[in-house]
Parts: sequence; structure tokens; C-alpha cells
Amino acid sequence: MANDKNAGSGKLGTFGYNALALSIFILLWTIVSWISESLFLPTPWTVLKSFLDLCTYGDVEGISLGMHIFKSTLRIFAGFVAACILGIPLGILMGLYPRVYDSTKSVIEPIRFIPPVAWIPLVIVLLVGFSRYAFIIWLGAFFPIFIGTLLSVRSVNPTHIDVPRSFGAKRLYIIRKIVIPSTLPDIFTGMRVGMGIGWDCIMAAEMIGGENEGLGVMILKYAELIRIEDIMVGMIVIGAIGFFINEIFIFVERRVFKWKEAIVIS
Amino acid sequence: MKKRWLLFTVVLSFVFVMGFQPTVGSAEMKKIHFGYLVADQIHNFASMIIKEKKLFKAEGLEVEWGEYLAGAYVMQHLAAGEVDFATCGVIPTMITRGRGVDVVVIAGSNTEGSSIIVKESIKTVKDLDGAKIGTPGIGSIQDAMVDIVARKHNIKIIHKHMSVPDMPIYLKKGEIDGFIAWSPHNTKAAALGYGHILLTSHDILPGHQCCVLVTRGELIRKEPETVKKVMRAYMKAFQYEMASKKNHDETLEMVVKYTNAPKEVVVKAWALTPHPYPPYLNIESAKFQAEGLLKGGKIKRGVITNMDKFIAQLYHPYFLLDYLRNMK
Amino acid sequence: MTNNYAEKMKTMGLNFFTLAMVLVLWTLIAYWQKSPFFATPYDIVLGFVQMVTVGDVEGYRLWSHMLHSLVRVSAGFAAACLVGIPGGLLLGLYPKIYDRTRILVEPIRFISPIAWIPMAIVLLVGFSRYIFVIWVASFFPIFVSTLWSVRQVNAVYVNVARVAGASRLFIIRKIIFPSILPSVIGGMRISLGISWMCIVAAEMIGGQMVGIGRLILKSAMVTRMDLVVVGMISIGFVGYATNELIIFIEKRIFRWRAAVSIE
Repeated sequence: MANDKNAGSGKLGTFGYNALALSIFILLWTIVSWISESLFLPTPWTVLKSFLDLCTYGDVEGISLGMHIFKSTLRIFAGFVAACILGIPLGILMGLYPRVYDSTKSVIEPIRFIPPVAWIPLVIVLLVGFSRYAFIIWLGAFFPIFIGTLLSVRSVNPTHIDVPRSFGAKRLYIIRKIVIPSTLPDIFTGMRVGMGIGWDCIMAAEMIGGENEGLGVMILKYAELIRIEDIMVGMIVIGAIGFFINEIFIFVERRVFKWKEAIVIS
Repeated sequence: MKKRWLLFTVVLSFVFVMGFQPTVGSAEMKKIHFGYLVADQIHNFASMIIKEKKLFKAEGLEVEWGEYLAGAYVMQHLAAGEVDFATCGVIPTMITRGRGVDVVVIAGSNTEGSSIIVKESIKTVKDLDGAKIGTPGIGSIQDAMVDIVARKHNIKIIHKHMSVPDMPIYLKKGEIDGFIAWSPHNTKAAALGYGHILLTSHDILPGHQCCVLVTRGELIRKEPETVKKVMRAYMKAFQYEMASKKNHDETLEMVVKYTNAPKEVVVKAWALTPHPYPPYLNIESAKFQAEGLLKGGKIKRGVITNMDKFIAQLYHPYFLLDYLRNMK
Repeated sequence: MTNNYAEKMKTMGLNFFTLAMVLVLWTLIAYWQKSPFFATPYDIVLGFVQMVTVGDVEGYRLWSHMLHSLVRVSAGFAAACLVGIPGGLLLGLYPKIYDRTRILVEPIRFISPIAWIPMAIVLLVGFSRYIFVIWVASFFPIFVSTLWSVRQVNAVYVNVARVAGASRLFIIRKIIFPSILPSVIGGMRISLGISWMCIVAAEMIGGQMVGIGRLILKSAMVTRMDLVVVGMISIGFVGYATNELIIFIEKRIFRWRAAVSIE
């Protein structure tokens, strides 16, 4: 917040410091892997070389890195959209009728704590093809979106609802004009968190098997060949894309919901 | 000031992560860590008998058993210096050796023992052209077998990696045209009626090496006595199974217990899985398989310059021969 | 009071009704599937009884799987707290450090713990692997919630104390610490939930026989679907119960706070 005075140069400064931090990290990494001489702690340059090889020649089965990224992004996107389509209306509904939530709690809540990986055997039997991946990502992304919406609806200022009601506004009108606008920032935050967890779940989803493309699949392939440098490429790509998407969400949030004083990153 | 903090944080987090470097090799080993694979008791029945009959205890060894989901996991743990001995596939072993880890094969375990199961419409090997075949993973012996079939018949087979118990489900749903799996998963799927056995690994590469007993090269140099004891227990397990019909049946019952497969499935699967005695490594097949790994890029080009030398470093039959010599 | 009681009973009844509906649905799916790879509720009950009385193929019972997993999760969670709370406090007090090292810290959030497993296996040893994998997953919620709550401490309190001549340490101890405590505990609860959810991922690391994640992975390998489901339900139930317990305690301790969120 101290940077607000000279936001322009401050931004550039933050950017510069981040670059500096990154270079220091890479330097340290080089030194540590150099000293340890471990077969399994490759230097950044080995990792870079693997990255370039993966881009040009593809992986051990000849599938390019771009293809892996594309497939994983597609799966995450599908699961995420499904989570939004289900999570937001359900959250609004259960927020408006708390009774529904309370009477299904014993079923919904424990599901939240069952890890996505544990679902794989069931998912393989019950679903087919692409829907399996979408389901696992959906499992991860659904709850932050659903709960974010639900809590936000519950905390809508009652005055804002009571006033139009006393003027004879219809239920639907209140939902459309009051509940949804005031919950929008929270829904958006829920979506961002859901997206992050979706990226977190891609490894679990791609353990399903049967497909040879995907960043998670690539990591698993190279884990079998004990090639840590290629595994690291996969991890860095996942981290970078997740980070990038998250930053876009934060940027949009700050732009669109400027009137909200603080946006909490969680 | 700020920069110093920044440096401090980075160094601190780095130290935290790297703080757990492995402590490899204690000078004196009393307790060994022996790894085996889940539901792979037909191929590596010896480790199961050692465990059930407490043969390590008879040799004065204390053992910590480790169960692993796949050969690749065993190898990762072995590279970390945690696994001392293990039974697993020869392919993951060679891949790991190709990565520069000092892993050594001291005896074989079984040969063959995998089969390709396909849907009914596939009748001949030529029909496999363009078919999707499920394999347990890129580093497995079965994946390498599919490559061999494709090369031999000059056809293209699409590999789909998946967990072995899931393969019948994929086959039934029509997502794959067939799969290759180890015993008893192969005969189990055939018994369910989901497909039929097209090729056994005997048809693909007769007498090929499958599973082996491995250890770390360091143990051979530093703890030959321990290796000798392990070899003795291992050989006694083989002898126990061969001793009588009763013992053989008892072994099959143990397999049923560990793999949760019906008895008749286990009997059929056992028939497809020879356990040669004495358990030498099939060197010819090992060479052939290593060349396949090189061609498929699973071992990086340039790592193996001399195949005979590679195999000589991989296979260390001294303890097996020593045991056989002393037996007479 | 009686009204409240009746209300509670009604909610409970409705919950049982939902549970019964799920069971009916499950049975129907099981009949429709008729597959050896899908367990009926009856199989699951039998599997549960087997796990409680006899144990799995190695003779380990359900509670011993639970116990081992709980020990691993607690250790990883403790590590996350030990690093996350002081780290969050530090970077909350010096926000510039966080802003300037974001590029290193943030991407790690999106890397699944499963992706760390191969590296954890070859670089670490024994129990530290479990600690690391669980730490990687559960560190962020606790770190981020501490960091943000420090940033949101009411500046007036800090300034008043500073004007009155309080030392830096005093301000941290007497003002910042108490006011961030609710968020820190909230973050800890989320972290605990996530660490518990990581147990299956962490137990993909081999070499051990016991652990609830191990039970699921191994039962899947030998197509014992009933035991897979028993494992899933156990994890879900323990996670849920722990979460409710902490919410209950939070509500007790922080009564003065208007609302305690459930997320």
C-alpha cells in the first residue's frame, strides 16, 4: 500500500524485484544441485534443455508439450464450467432456503473431504471417456464455488431485501436485482479459488489413465523413467499456467469490483 | 535492508526443502527393507513365501516389508537408498540402471507370464494394426512387449496407459481394443468373459525374462554376508514350492488370498508363468529388451555404448552360483 | 427451547432421509451396473465389518490404518503451521517481501501434491516424505490467511499504541497477534481439511503397509471395491467430524466475532 503514492514506478519496481528474486532462486538452485551432485537434482539448465526438447521433439512417445498443455487445459476448463453451472445456482438456492442445505448436510459435507484420487476407481466404472476427467476436476472446483455463493447469499444485508419487499417487489425481482449483484464479488472469488483447485486436481484426474496426453500424464510417464528434469518441466508449466490464470482473475476482480474495499486472496 | 530480508527468505525456504537429503547406507545393516509389488504374487511368489514362512527370520535377518504399486515406485525408493532388496520387473530395473543408479540383478524370478487380451472381433495379430492396447505404463515390461509385437509384425499399435485392474472395465466399455497384463489379471479378465487371450508372452518372446530379484550395488560390496542370507532365503522359497504337490497347492492358496482372484483363475495364470529353477537371468532376452528400451527412447541414447558391458554390470550372479555350489 | 429442540430433530430426520435416498440410489446403480467392479451397499457393510473385526489381507484393521494416516497428517499439518504462521506474520508485516517474491511462492500453489511425489521419493527419505507432501498442500491456506489478516489489522490500534510509545514487539504481541487469531485458526482449519484430503496422494509413496490411503490404493489393485468405498467413507467422515469440532470450538472461543464462516 506504501507504493500507492507513485504507483507507476512502484509497479515496475515490484516487477523488477520479482525478476531479481527469480534469478537469485535459480542461482541458488544451480549451486545446490551442483554441490549435491545428486542424479535427481538437475540444474536449471538441464531442466531448460528438457523443456526445449519437449517443445521440439515431444516426449518419449513423440507427443509435444503444446498438446499436453492443450489437453489438460481443456479438461480443467470443462470441469470448471460444470462446477460453475452447478455450484452458482445451487449456492443461491441453498442460500435462499437454508433448510435445504441443513437437511442435506450429512451427505454433502463428508463428500468435501473425500480426496479426488480416491474417486478414481468408482469414476472409471461409472463414467466414460472425457466425462471422467471433467468429473474429478468438477469435484475439486465445485465446493469453493458452491460454498462461496452460499455464504455470500446468506450474508446479503437483510435491509436491502426488506425495503423492496415492503414496496411489493416480487421474489424473482429481488433475486435478480439485489441478491445476485451483491453476491457477485464473492461468487467471482469462489470461481478463482475453484479454478486454482481445478489445477491442483489435474494430476489426480490424469491418473485415471487411458489417455496419453496431458501434463499430469506426462509427469507420470517420466516418473516411471525416473527423469526428474522432465518432471520438473511439467511441474513448472502447471505452476506457471495456474499462476497466470489466477493473476488474470485477480486483475479482473480489481477492475470490476473496485467498489469493494478489499479483495482477499485465499 | 529489504533485499537482505528477501535473500534470507529465499535461502530459508531453500534450506527447509533441501534439509531432508537422504542419508544413504549405514555402515552396519541389521534390518533390511524388502520391497514387492501389490497383487503380483504369481510372478514373485518367492517373496510371498519368504514372508508367510518367515524365512528371513530363519536366516537371522530382521526385515521391514514394503509394498509398492509398481516397479517404478520400487526403483525410485531404491534410488533414494531406502529399498535394500526387491522383486520387480527387469524393465524398470534396466531403465533405472540406464539413469545411472547402481541397481544390480542378483537372480531371476519368473519368465513370461503376461498376455494380450483382446475383444472378440480381433482374431489374428494382424488385426491389432491400429488397435488401442492398454498397458500398465511406459516403464513396464508389458509396454515393451507391445512394442516388440508391433515391430515384429510391422504394424502400428496405439498404447494407452492405465492401471491394470481397470483394464477389463475399459475393454468392456469399448474404450480400448485389448490390453496386456500380468498374471493373474490376464486370466481374470478372460474368466469374466470380457475378451480372449490373443497372445501370451511366450508367443511374443519365448522364455523372456520378466521379474528379478534386485539389490543396490553398494550392498554387494559392503554387506556380502547379508546378500548371501537373502539369497539363501530366496532359494529356500523356491525349493519349498517345488518340494511337494501339497506345498504347491498351499502356494496357490496364498496367491488367492493376496490377489483376491478365484482359484481356477490363479491355476490358469500360474500355468502361463514359468519359474525356472535355478533362477538364472535370461541374458539373451535381457539384451534384446534393453535394445528395445534404447529404440523406444526409454533409455536415453548414448547411455549404453556396449551392450555386453551394460548387462555385465546389471547382472551379478555370484551369490546365486555361490549358493548352488555350496548346496552340492 | 422445546421449539428449538423440535427444529433440531426435524433437521436430523431430514438428514437421515437424504442419507436413505442416497443409499437407495446407490443400490439402484449397483443393480443397473451388475459389475464386479461396483459394490452394493450390502457388500460395503460386509467390508466394513471385515475391516473392523478381521482387518485386511495383512491383518491390519481399520483403526490402525486410520491411526497411521492421522499421525502422518498431523506431522505434515504441524510443519505447515510451523512454517505458515510465522511466515505469514513476517510477510504480513513486511508486505513488500511478499509482493516482490510472489513469482516464486505463488505458482507452487497450483502444483498438485501428487506431482511432487517422484521428487519426494528420490530426494527425501522415510517419514519426511509424508511430511513434505502434506506440507506442500496444506501450507498455503494457513500462510495466506495469516498474511492477509495481518494486513487487515485495524491501523488505528497500531498507531495508537505506537503513539503511546509501545515497542514493535509489544505491538506484535498485544495487538496484532490477538486480532489475527480468529483468521489464523480459520486458516488452520482449512489447512487441516486439505492435509487430510492429501492422505491418499501422500500414501502413493510406497514402502508402508498401513494407512487409509494405502488401503484404498491397494484394494483398487485387487478389485476389492467394497474396501475402496469403506476407505472413502472413513476419510470423508473423519474429515467432516474434525471440521465440525473445530467450528464448534471456534464459535465458543470467538463468540465476540459476529460470524465464523464455514469455508
